Amino acid sequence: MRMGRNPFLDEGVRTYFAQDAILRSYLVLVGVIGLVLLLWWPRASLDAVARTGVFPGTFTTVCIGLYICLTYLGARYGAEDFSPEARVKLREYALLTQVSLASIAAGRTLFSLLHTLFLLALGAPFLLASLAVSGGGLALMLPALLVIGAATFAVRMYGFLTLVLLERQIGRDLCLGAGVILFLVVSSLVVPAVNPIAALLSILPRDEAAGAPISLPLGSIPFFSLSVIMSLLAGLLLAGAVFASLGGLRKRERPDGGGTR
Amino acid sequence: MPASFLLIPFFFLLTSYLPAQSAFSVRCDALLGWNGVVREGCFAPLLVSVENSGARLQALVRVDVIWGGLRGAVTQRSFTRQAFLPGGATRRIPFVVPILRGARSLTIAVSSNDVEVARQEVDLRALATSDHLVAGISSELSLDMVSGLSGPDAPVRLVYPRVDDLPESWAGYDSVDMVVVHDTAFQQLRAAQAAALEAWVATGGSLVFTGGTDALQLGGAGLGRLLPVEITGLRERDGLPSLAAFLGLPRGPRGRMVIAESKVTTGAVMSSQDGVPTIVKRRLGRGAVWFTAFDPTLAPLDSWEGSPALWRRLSENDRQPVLGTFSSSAADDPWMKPLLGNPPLGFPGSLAALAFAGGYLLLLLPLLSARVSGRLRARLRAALLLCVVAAAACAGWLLFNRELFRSDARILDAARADVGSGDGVARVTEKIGLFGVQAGSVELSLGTVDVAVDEAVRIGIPARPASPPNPGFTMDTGRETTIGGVSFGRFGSRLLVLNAVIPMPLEASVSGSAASLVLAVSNGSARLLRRCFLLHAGRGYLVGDVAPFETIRRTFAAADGLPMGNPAARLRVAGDPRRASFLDQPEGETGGGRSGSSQGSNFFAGWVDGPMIARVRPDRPALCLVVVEAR
Repeated sequence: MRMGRNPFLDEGVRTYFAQDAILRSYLVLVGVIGLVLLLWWPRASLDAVARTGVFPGTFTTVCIGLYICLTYLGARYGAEDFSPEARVKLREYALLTQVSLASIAAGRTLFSLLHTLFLLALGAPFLLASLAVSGGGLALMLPALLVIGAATFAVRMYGFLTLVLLERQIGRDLCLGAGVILFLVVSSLVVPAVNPIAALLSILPRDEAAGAPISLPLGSIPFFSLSVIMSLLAGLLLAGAVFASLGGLRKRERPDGGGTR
Repeated sequence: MPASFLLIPFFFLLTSYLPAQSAFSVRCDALLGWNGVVREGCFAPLLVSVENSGARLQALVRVDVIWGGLRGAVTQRSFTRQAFLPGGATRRIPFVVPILRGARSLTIAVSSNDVEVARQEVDLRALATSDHLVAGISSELSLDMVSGLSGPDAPVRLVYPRVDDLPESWAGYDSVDMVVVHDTAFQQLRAAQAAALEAWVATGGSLVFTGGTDALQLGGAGLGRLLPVEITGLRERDGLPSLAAFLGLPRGPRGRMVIAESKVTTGAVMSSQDGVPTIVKRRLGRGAVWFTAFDPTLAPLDSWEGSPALWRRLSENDRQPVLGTFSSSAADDPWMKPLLGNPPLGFPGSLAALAFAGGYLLLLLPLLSARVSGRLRARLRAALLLCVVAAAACAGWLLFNRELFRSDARILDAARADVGSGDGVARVTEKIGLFGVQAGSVELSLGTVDVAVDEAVRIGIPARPASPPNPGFTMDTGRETTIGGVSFGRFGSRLLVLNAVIPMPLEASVSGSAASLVLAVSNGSARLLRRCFLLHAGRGYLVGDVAPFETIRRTFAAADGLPMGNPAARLRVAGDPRRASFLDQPEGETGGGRSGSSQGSNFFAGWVDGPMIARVRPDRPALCLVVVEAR
């Protein structure tokens, strides 16, 4: 399959850059992150910061704000909550069209990745401004974007899965909300390194002990990288689960096979 | 393949290993402090002897002083020096190292091409003492009477250093209260040793030249420049009653003695007998050089009951070791405060952030509004959105980065130079405040000036998580001194205190009456003194600028004086609030120990733009006050 001709990319661009509700969600995203930046903008003088040792947490707060917003939006976009009713939904593609399942899953996954990058780009100016006042260098942008981007991608795939598995909106909302909250709580208690918020806190730590590198048998990796790796793995596994679920759905609803897989 | 072939790699390994071992036959040894005695809280001289019995090599000698532990963090300060080591020769490389309280060990490592070739460790805990030190330069152990200076709380230890081992840096004398030069056993001090002794006196030390027959050696020993007299001959005497008058004692020493006849060159006669100066004092900087025409180590002076009183008088000084103890943060330092108010050191205001966020939203608004751009094709909209995002990201980074977030540190520089009129030298204390927003490090060049560097405070969190705090700084004390490795964590600050004695030929004299005051100033230095003023009887008289190599003369009426007790007048004299704030510091804080102890003196002062010692960029906020004690 050639991605350039994948209709889902074209359709994604047409949906996510034309629909009024989605465009408004971008505006709200930028507004919320801008507000967070302003609220956490350092007001103390530089010498006061040097004297007290209380460093501005603007960058970390904006990162966490962006992560929360993108997690919410990623879940909603994944569950196609912003899609107009007239638009063909993921389940309908599998059940009503002859398009191959691989094409559907790959197209949606690829567009999700690209759209996540766009969402990250929307918040990037605020991240850059906040990075500077927090005393971080440009190099810290990459880990922050990786953590947020990977986590958003994973939750978006999770949204797709709920869309495939659950027909009712209320079920999807409950499943999405509960799943994300459960993951954040459990990961923070059991494996903090997997938790994206803990990973974001480790990028510009407030004290020396925070965010120590993780020792592995073959060496050590930065604290934030485990969260990125686990989120990407989870995203890909969820994409596979979406593919499998769509196959199962098509087989159950259309026993004749209904087109190529 | 024959088994012998297997030996070939071993042969190559062996041949490559053997020359490497034989090339480095280097041993190093250390002479720390004054004959092994070091005083806590002071700089101490360190003489590293490196013996190279192998091939010649270019080596780096590194000295690490380590202190702290238990409750405090282990910290170290490093000093390096390049040295060429000819084959079969021994080189002596001098250092001056700080012995802070809690000092644990000192490590000397000699390396060549990053390979360590010799190492020596010294346990400082066994050597450090809190006793006061007197150094006696004498070929005989004859100055025992100096031990009489000991008090119950301040024991005095007398040491006899070899002339050859005398420090070449004034800071090497930091732990010494008094130096007594009896004789040098006809050895000549090197020029650097004599200069170091002179500079140390200028920082407040007491130097005593004793007379008698050995006084004839002093001029030839390279100490003539320091002597307040010129020795013209010897004379025998039966007693020195004038000495009793000088000390306020009932009786002077009686008995036959030889005294040195002399002609006073730079000092003031404090006591004389039959026209021959017996005690001469020369004030140099904050310290004093004494000359006694008699030899106090010989009879009848050695057993004279007035001997302890004489030594107490000769050793009187208020010198404090330059290695200070500081506890406040760099931002709290009174010298830094006037400079910290400078706008470039603040965060950009919230209004700037609001304007940035608002501008970004305004740019996005038309593209994200279906009403405004409803007909825009989705791909074009996406492309335009990305363009806006890219522009905003660049603006966000550059806008704020330009103001505050450059990776280099903010360097603030404040200094005070104290000059005794006509001494030709200035005692300089310069503080360098280094404030880093982002983690980074800086390097400071100090030129060829002999500088004792102390670090007052250091705060900040390290650049990388779990990395240990940077152990301090490294001083490369070659021909030009460079302080390197001054690194920061985020929002770290460090305060370095530089102490030095630099040439500064400045003379000021005040004459006339209260109604008509005449000031004469000769600026023989190459520095422009700006907004100069005269402080006389609690009033400030505005003088204006004094150009390099310029001599000026001003006459003031009593009405010209501005009362320094009045804040508005003080502000006018200082020139601006920043300078007034610096001027308002207690004399001790601004290094003015001498002016503080001489309330009745006249002071001529002026401001120098730019640092006195450190070679930092001229656009750094700097403040330097030059104070001349007028004659």
